[in-house]
Amino acid sequence: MKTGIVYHEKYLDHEQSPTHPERKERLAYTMDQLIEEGIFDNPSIKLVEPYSATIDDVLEVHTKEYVEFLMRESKKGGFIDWDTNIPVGVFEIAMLSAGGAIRAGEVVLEREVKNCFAMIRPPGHHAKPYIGAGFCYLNNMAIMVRWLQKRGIRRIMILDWDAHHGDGTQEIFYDDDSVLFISTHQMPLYPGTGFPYECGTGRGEGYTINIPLPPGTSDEGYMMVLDEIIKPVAEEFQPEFIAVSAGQDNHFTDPITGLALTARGYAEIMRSTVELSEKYCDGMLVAVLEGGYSVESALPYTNLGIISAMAGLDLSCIREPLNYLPELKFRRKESALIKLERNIDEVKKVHSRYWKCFS
Amino acid sequence: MFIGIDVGGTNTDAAVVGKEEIVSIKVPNEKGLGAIFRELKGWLSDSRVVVSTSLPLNLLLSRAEEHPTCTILVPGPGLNYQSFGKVVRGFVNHRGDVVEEIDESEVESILKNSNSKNVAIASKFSVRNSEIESKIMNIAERFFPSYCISLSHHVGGMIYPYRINTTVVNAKIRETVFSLTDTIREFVSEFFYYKGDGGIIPYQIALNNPSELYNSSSAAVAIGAFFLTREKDALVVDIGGTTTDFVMIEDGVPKILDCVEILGKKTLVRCVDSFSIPFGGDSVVEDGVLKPLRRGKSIAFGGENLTLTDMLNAEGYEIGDYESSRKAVNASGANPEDIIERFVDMVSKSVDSVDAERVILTGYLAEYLSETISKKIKVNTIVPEHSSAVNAVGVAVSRVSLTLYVRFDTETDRAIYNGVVEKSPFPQASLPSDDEMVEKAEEKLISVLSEYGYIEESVKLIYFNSYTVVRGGIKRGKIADIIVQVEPGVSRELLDM
Repeated sequence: MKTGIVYHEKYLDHEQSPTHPERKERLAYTMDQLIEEGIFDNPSIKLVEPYSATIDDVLEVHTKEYVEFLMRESKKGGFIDWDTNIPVGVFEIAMLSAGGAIRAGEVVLEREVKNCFAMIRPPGHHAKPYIGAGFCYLNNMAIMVRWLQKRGIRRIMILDWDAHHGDGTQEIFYDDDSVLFISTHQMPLYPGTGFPYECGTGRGEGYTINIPLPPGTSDEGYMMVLDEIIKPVAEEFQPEFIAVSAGQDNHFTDPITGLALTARGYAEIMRSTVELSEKYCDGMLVAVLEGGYSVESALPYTNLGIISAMAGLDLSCIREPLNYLPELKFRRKESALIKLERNIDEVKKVHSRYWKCFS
Repeated sequence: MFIGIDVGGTNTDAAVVGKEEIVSIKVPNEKGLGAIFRELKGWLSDSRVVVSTSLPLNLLLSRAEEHPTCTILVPGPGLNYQSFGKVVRGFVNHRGDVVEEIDESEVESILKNSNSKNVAIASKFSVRNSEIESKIMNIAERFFPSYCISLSHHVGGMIYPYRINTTVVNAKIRETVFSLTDTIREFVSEFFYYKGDGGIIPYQIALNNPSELYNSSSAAVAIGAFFLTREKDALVVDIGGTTTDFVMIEDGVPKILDCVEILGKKTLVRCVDSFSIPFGGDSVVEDGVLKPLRRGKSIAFGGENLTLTDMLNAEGYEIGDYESSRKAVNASGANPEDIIERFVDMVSKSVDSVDAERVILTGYLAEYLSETISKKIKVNTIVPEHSSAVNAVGVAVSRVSLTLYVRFDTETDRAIYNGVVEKSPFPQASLPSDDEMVEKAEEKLISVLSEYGYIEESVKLIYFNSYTVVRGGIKRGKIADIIVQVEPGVSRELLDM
């Protein structure tokens, strides 16, 4: 079966302002790379057309007051926070972005494709039920997850590997035991949440797992998290569907974060995630694009790596050009691995009450 | 005057199209290209000459294994291209920067040890900067004549795997097109080649991307049929010697297929979307049955094989030496009425398979078969004048058509035209408007055409995308990707005739 890519030219239209990090240029270089590699003409890839989400889909996650506010402000231009203004017309594009995530879930659920990458903008994982934040307006991931649950999927594992904590998504599913939310994120960094002790509430207690990463965490660190936390928990949770908030701001050239993942590292993490989906979910996996601001040096190679891993293509030549490698020497920190081991121990300690694999 | 020459399977057709009249000439291929140019001698000096010759290339491609290609690839990071050829070090990134240099000794050792007859060189993003390809070309020229070396940036478009495949096709046919060009230039110094999409290009441009000549006859038939009938939407049914071809005309131009498969691989070649049935005027009749084979000429034209053409003569038409046809048909005991009907049935089924309001019948049997066919297909059928030379008329009247892939990058101060890097026409770090950028791209296309002495004012914008380059929160420049084209079609000065 093929790998789907949800994409629409309209996703390039959105710009908060021409110099905002989350701007049109973000995907332009990636599209260059994907077109030149023949990704959209590759027999193992299917281009999927998105549609707009419906208001009802959005109201499963967001409050009526917020949706009305966003709709209204989007007509004349408005403001949410210092990172997130409301440019004219953003509501329509945010609805197309949320719809793109739903569409990705739909084509996977209906087995039109094995798995699907929603290459959508604007991103969503900081958006909370009642307000947008951090470049995000609607929580695309959460809207898709609720959409899938209404269609009979019971247990969904969200893996949020954006460099920033997915605070919006966490809040939406904090008291929900049907959604296992696992976030790896740099700490300290915006939004400042995502400590191991934030582990859910009520029925959802234990179903939020936060793994803070020290600045300088590299491919080995991510592999360690996968082996020590994610894989054992997945085995115990037995998800029916895996959804990845595939932020790409953990790359070692990202200008607003301090992590040190490589393009090959991304591809390998995705390959492991695909393996998990094959083991537990008949391969059902959706990746949703979140952040990623190294538009020129990273995104063309990381997006290609993620898509290649999802489609089972040869990953042996996935890398970034050699001229960027000196930067990796500065960014990658051996000490990060030692700190990360401590963080992993803390996560295990907190979650030993909820998960047999840690007790 | 406008002269079109179409080298077909059996004959070479020529048409001289002037304001007042059209003259058509047919010469058997065995007499050579010289024969047709001798016939055209009186017109050559003050005419535009266009040659359509996809046949030699198609024949060559059918024996591709006799022309092994050494394919040198510079893909850099990304997917794995080892199955496409020899991968060497080096990388041009998406911005057109050479970010990894080639290792000359690595390239040299591959070329030195190659037993291939030609070389294809393809770097990823060569359409953004062809520097690496040119460097490898310089090394390759030490081992191969330059007419055996093809570079991928001349192909124009993105999609690296398809560009590699196209470059390999170019490498295989380039020598043939070079020698053909030399032969033609003995008779006429400047001329144009006919492309598979129905446009024409100066021969100098064709030499760098000869795969554009692939399958050009069908395009010529469609453009010729439109020119002679002015029917903007119709199905052209061209009854040839070996095959009968079907081409749709939509809004005055043939329907075009992108990314055509050649040698079993997808390429960036565009050509007319046509289909064929393997029967035509020379198809033989054996044991009373029409066979999808051509063994030579019809008896009506001095051959030894009973054919569909001979059957028409037996039914009362007078094509060539019709008396010999009739004798032979009588002696064979074949039933000409049945055989013709079977052929007409096949044609009508093909017509039914597409949604056509009108059919233009062309080819040398068109006038004889039109009545039977139009009764059968129940669609309005037209047989234009000069129906047997429609292909050559199409070649003569088509317009110069060029596609230019442009990238302006004002941060790096570069303008890239089909992979060739020049200085940007805008000041460095400037933020020109989208309209200004389109205008400069159009100007460039017109200036390329005028270098070849051809002025064509109507440029079509095929694609546009632009964005601002921001670093450290500051706008550093603007990038625009633009594709502009002078579309294929009938030459403007002839449209008013």
